[in-house]
Amino acid sequence: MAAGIVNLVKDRASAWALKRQGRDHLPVRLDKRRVYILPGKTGFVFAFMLFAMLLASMNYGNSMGFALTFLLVSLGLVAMHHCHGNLTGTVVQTIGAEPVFAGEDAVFEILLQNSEHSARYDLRGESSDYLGSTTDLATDKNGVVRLSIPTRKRGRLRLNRFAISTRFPLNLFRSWSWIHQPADCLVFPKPAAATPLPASQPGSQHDSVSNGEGADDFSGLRSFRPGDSPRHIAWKALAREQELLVKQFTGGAAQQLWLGMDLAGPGDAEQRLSRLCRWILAANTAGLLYGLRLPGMEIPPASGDAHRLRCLSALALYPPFDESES
Amino acid sequence: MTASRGLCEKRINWTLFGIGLALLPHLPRLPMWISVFLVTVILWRWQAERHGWSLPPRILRFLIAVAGFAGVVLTYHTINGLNAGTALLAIMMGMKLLETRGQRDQMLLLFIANFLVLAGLLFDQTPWTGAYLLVSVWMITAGLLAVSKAGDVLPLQQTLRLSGRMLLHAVPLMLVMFLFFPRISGPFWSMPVLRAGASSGLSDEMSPGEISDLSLSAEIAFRAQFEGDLPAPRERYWRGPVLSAFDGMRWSVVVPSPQTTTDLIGFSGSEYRYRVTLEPHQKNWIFALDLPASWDRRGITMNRDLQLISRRPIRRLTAYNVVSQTRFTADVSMPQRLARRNLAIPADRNPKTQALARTMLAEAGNADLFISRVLQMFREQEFFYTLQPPRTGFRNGVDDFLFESRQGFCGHYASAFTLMMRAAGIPARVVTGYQGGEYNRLGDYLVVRQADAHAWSEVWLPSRGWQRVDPTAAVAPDRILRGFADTLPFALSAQERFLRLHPALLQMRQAWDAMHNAWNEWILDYDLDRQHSLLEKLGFHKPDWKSLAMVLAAGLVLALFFLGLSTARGFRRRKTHPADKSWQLFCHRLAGKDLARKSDEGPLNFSRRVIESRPDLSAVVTEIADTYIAIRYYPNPGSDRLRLLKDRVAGFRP
Repeated sequence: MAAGIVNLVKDRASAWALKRQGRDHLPVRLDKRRVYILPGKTGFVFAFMLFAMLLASMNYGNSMGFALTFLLVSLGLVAMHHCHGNLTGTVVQTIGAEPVFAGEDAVFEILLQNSEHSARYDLRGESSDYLGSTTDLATDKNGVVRLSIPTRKRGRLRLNRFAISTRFPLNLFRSWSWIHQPADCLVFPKPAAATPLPASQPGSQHDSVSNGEGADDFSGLRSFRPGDSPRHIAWKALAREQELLVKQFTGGAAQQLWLGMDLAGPGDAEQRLSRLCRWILAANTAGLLYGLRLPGMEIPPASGDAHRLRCLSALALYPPFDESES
Repeated sequence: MTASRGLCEKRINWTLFGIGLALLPHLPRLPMWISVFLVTVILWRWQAERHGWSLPPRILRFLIAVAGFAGVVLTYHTINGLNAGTALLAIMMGMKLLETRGQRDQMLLLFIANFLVLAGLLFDQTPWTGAYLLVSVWMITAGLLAVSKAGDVLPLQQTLRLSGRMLLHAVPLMLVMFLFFPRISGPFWSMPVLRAGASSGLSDEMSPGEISDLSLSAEIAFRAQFEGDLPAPRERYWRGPVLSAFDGMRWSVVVPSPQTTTDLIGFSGSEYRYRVTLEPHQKNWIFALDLPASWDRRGITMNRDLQLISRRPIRRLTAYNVVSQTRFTADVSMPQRLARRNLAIPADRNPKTQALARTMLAEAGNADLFISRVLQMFREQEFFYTLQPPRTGFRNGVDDFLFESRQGFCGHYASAFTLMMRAAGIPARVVTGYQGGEYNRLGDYLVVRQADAHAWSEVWLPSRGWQRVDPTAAVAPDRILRGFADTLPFALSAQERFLRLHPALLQMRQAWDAMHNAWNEWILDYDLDRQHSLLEKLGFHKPDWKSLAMVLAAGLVLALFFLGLSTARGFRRRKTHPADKSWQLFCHRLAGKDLARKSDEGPLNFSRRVIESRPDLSAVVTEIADTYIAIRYYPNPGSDRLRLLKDRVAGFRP
């Protein structure tokens, strides 16, 4: 019941904040208008202690007791100002998250900038349901806070809004600012348990590897193109202070591996996607040339991390759907 | 909250430090076993965190808790009251320390530490305590700051600086609240007696020999600040309990003594206006110069014995204004009952004294002559004033004193004199109080110490009423004129004697006491009355709680406004680097020659462009740009570069 009321109030408050502030576009400076502050639990305990101290001072007519009590009351108010000021003026530069596999935590990295002449402490990233890490920002320094959100399903994990908050100093107050900037984290399917790769398909009709690149026999060097696997870089050549070169291999078409739903064995679509995911990882580790076929789309065989990302993304978004994290 | 062990240790150390500071003043007051327990727990916890020892298991903690509680009950026979309450709080804190790990618990412990600081103030409110309070609150706040920090604890210096700054920011707000928060005070629940049995000062009975215990005490009884002249030393009689009942050895107060007014007393002589700041003595007595004509404090009345009585026992520093006149005639028509009481003596005790009194009265013929004959006897015969009189018998103590030992101090003389008066049919009684007082030049007030305790007599004479007679003055006039310390230097404590040998030290004591007095006046005795007089000074005609609330609110708003200004970052302007100023001037001068720096141009690109269009300026522009770059972007530029830059820019006229 109580939790229900709290949630209701929270929902109303966030709707109100959105209406008041509108959507944001990073970078955003946390100005006074959008920094909220309320006492926290510790603050209430502190207030209770002050009340007891006030009563004791009154009862004993103890002037120094009054002085001490008032000093601590004032300290609490000063802490409130410091807490508000600790957040106000921070600039939220970017938010982003590296893709993760379902079941792992999506880690949103929020880049904060302190462009002012005093340090900030204990800035924390948070969403409605999760608390992130904290960071201190020295004068004129940037820093990153991480907000981890557990993922369950593949797809796009959407963070509709996030907050930067602080309880510094003394933990008596919590001041925070909502940023209504959606951020996504791509969630790959959870890799299935290790399964042997399907057999290569020599002479496939979809053989589109026109330059004859393979993985077997060294055939020469060419210059580096983004996406090339680091394992093919000619480190020795680099050491001779030549430009960044990539070893080219020729190999039979026999080494081209096609992965697709039809090969992914029994089970529902999710299970098969998981298996495909595992295969892509394994193929990538093995340095194979592999391509991916999904209903309605086809990624020609290639290798390298960019290719791996492309394939995994295709798995994550097949068929394209979003999972939102409010 | 998981945190690495080093971090936990830093936090725990802060907590232990704060707690330790708050506990320290309590340790001497607490029973030995609690002090030992607390010190042990704190030291153990400190080491436990360092070496990663595990905390005691739950069952052990439970047993310790039960034992602690039982110990408090056994020691104090109660869990109520300040002493037992403080002990209990301290023990609970020790218990909490044995199980605490989390930040929240540690913050709670530091909150309790603040409470212990407050509890310490209820025992002791000297200026030292004030200074100690500031230090401990600062350290506790620093501890709170360190413990509440979510990430890494700040470096020590920074923690101290930030907490100190926060406290400084809090001071103006505190002052507003201190001055204007309505001082409603008075016990809401029963007030425990602070130091049971330790009430120093006079008692409500006297048998010769008791006041001498006080004579060694330099403890302050009260201070009196006079408007205008001080009374002469021989008039400095501070009236206290009046002892009318006599059992042959012991004089005691007759209770109850009904309330009376000063209307029927005839006052004459010079008028003294003064303010007394009375140290707590746990009794209802209010001391005033003999005899008070009017006073300002509610709850103070005069009883039938002409002594001022407070409705409540004096348990904290109490100040009151009094007007006294040193000559008075009171009770000119004394009721029979009162006269009888002041004539009553046990007929079978001290027969020799009684006989002597009757003989002397018969010889003298009238009361006045009789009184002066008795005083003359004290003065001229071999009577000695000493604080170490030989013991007298119990049954006929006055006889033993008058006829055998003849050595005694004020109590003996007042007792013997009063008894003789009564035996001769003159109503008489013993008055106790203080006589004298040391003038503090710095603070312009009299300090009256317990060592100034005194006893004298009052005799009732027809048509004149009660008259003060001090037989001690006849024996040892110096005691009255110059004070106790100069009369019997060897009776003083070693410390006191040492002080008096070195006038500089004595002056230091006076300076210290003057500070103490100011502290009492402005801090400890600040109450609703003072608030009202402050408001009157601020221009309120008839200050009441409304004006108080108004000033309080206005003050708070003002203080909060300035607090907001000083903490808001937007208002804090960033300092411009001096090199930037020169650089801006340089750009400004070139802009005047149609060579404005573009916003995306750094110093290097800009200078290149300038040189392209103005090759004649090449040397100087290169030098300025290089110097500026060196100052702003190299690690250790040195101050001579800045001087160079300033010079070059100042002389730069494109």
